[in-house]
Parts: sequence; C-alpha cells; structure tokens
Amino acid sequence: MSLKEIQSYLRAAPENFGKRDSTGAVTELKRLKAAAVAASDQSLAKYLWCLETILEIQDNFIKTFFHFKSQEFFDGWCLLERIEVSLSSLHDHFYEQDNEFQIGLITAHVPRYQSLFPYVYFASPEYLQIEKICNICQKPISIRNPCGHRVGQIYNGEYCIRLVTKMEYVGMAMVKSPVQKYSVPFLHDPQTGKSKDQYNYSLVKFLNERLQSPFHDWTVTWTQARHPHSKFKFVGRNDPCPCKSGKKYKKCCLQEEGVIQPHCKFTFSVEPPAGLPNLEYSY
Amino acid sequence: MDKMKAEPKNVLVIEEVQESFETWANQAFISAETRELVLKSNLLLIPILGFRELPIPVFPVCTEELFQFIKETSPKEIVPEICIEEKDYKELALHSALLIVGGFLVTALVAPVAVDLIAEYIKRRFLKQSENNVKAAKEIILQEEAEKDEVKVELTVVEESGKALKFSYEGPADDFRKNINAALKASADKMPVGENPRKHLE
Repeated sequence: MSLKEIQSYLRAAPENFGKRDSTGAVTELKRLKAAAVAASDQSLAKYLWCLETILEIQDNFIKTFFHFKSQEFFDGWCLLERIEVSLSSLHDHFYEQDNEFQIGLITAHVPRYQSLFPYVYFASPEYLQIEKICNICQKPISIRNPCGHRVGQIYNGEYCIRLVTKMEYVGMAMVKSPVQKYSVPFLHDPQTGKSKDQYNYSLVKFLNERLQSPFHDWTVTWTQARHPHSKFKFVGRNDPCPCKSGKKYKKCCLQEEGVIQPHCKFTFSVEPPAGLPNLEYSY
Repeated sequence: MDKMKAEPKNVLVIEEVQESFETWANQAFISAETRELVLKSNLLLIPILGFRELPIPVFPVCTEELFQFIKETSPKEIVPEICIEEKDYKELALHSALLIVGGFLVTALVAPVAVDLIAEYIKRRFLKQSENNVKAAKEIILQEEAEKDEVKVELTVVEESGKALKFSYEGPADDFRKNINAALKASADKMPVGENPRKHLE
C-alpha cells in the first residue's frame, strides 16, 4: 500500500467499514515512519503518526459499532474511552478539513454514545507515582533537570508520555467523574462466581438497532414526556409519585394523562430500517 | 445530560493562614541547599501534606509539567521554585476528572502574574482540540453543551507585613482567573496604601 492508497483507505471508512482489514495499512505506516525518522524528516514522521492514530480511531469506532450490534455494551464502552484518549492526543496535531477522515463526526459521537450509558459511579484508584520515565529518551523524570521532551508533543513519530515504572496503591474512591471510565462496578454472582452485568442498556440498544452505519449522523435530545399510567400499575394511589415530585401519586401525575419521565429523543440522518417501533419504554 | 459529571462546585474560600516562605523553607524534608532556593523564590509550588495519612509530602499528578511550564513562560520578575528535594519528589494520581492543579505560595507583588500563569496552564491543559477542530466538531454537535472542566487550586498570598491569605478555589476551569482576580482585588483594596502592591502599580 502506498501513502496515497492509505489516505484513500482512511477517506473511504464510511464505505469500507463492513469489510475492513487494516493490517496492510498498519504495517506500511510503520515502515514509512521508520524511513522518515531515518531521513530526519520530523514533519513527515509526525504526519504518519497522525495517520496511524486516525486509523486506530476509525478501527475502534467501527469495532464499537459492532460491539453494540452484538449487545456487548461494556466492551463498546471501553473502546469509546480508548477513542476518546486517541482523539485527545490527535487534536493538538491534526487539522481535519471537511470531515475528511470522519474525525469530526467521531469526536461528536463519542460523548453522545457515552451519555446513553447507565453507568453513574466508577471506582477510582489512587496511586503514588514513585518513579517515572520519558517514553522518548527512557530517562527518569527529574523535577529540576528535565529531559526536555514535553508530554503531548511528537518526537520521531511517537507521542510523548510518561511511563510510571514504580508506584504504590494508596486507596480507592467511588466517583461520578472518573478519569478512567472503564472502572465500572458490576455485581458479583455467587452462583457462577463471576461478575454480573446489572445495567439497563435500552438506550444504546434502541439507537443501534436503527443505525445502519457507524458513520451515519445522529443526535440525541434529553427532554421529558408523560408515560402511560399502565406502565406504573405497581404504584399505589397513595404511594410517592413515580415522577419523584415528592407528592402522592393521586395528587400528582395520576391527575394527568401520564407520568412525567425523562425522555430521550433521537434524530437520524438516515431513515432507520422499516418495521422498528418509533417509541419504546425502557421498563 | 451527562451522567458522569457531578454538580459543579464553584467555591472560593478565603482564610488567613500562618504560612510564609520561611515556614516552608524550614520543613524537615528540605535540605539547606533547597532552603536557600525556597527563600529566594516568590512563586513556590508546595506539596500536599498528610493526604490519607501518607508520611511523605506529595504533589498532584502532572506537577512536573506545571513546574516546567512556569519556568519556561514566567516573566523575569517571577522566581519559581518547588518545595521538595529531587529524590523525594513523588506525584499522587487521584484519577478523578477534577484537575488538582496544586498549592502555590506567592508574594503579593507577583500574585496577579501568578494567577495569569496558572490560568494559562489550565487553559492549555484543557485545550485538547485545536480551534479549528473545535469549530469542525461544533458544526456537528450543534447546540450540545460542552462539558465543563473543573479545577482545584490553592493559592496563598504573603503580604509584606507577613499576613498570609489562602484562596482555595474549586470550580469551573473557565471561571478560575475571573474569581481569583476579583478576590485578590477585593483583598488588596482593603490593604493600607503602603502595603498594597496594586497601588504601587496604579
């Protein structure tokens, strides 16, 4: 594969996502980058790093789409986080024109997908980082005598980070705003001895049943709607209203045509397949 | 709606504290050589002491980058230093989306410049997308509200008289500069003219 062919392959992601094999592109990008570094062409090496990152982002975005199709929601969730990290690295070094490689679309869709997940609390480990090295020069990090490589910059076609080589566990906290979103707590099933996924993924499921391509645009709007009383037959007249107003059911939503509930509305750029209902209740 | 974002705090607490460059220079974990550096400085990065009963001073993760940024971008009137020995420098990673920038001790004269430096660092930390990419993304996102990043900063300002005021801010990153500057101005306006560094500049 030539560089031009790799660029075409990346531009064609909306067409090739179902039959994609990036092995050749990955190998060739590595080879081209090594040649650029050998020729001291830092600019080309950096551009090739950008293409490598774009390839990884596209591949992970497509895999996420198929994880959701297969109802492997947590696997897809973890990939969304990896895409988020890659996008964060890429954005400082790459300007995309006219959504050429779908980076603009992916940037917009990752937080939208994440907003549909039911996860609220996350485990947040606390660590003491005792020793770190620079991934570019492998030198230990010194507070007063820095190696000169800046985190987030590209050197020889590699993204500069710090590698923690020695650390100590300090504690664990449950947080709502985690840095690492993969630390989702699951229930333990005593019968199987394995973890059990207790979450309701109806929103992600509803969306992906209607999406025919990961590169079709969609938006989500959060609002409120009255859901039929037939869905709340288990609630007594004198019980608290399911709308969480704090009033009794009979003195609140029971006097109306339905119960006020959070409502999620999707807008699709491409009409979903025929035969699927337009409205679903998640309970 | 983003379920992962907790309610933003936006809190600024101001309190008088018994802190100075001398109190930090005299810490047991500081050598005589570093003591001199600390006393010569007017912007000092100070460690967290006693976090979860840790017996050692620690700094928030990425302090190394913050210190290099301050050293490289400070105007000449700023003399930055970090209150730790090279061998004892350790970072604490809390893995929460709240960015704990750290603790700073500054003289009143350089406090406004220090706030600008810290605000610029915060801006760069959160500038994950170039302006062009943000523009491109916004065309697709349309009216979706951007996630608000939050920061925690503790800035202790030491006046010539020895009085020290600690400004503890936790809230939206965008509001840090505005809120701290307003609080600094309010406290400076209460000072006698002779002790007010802003009055010298007017």
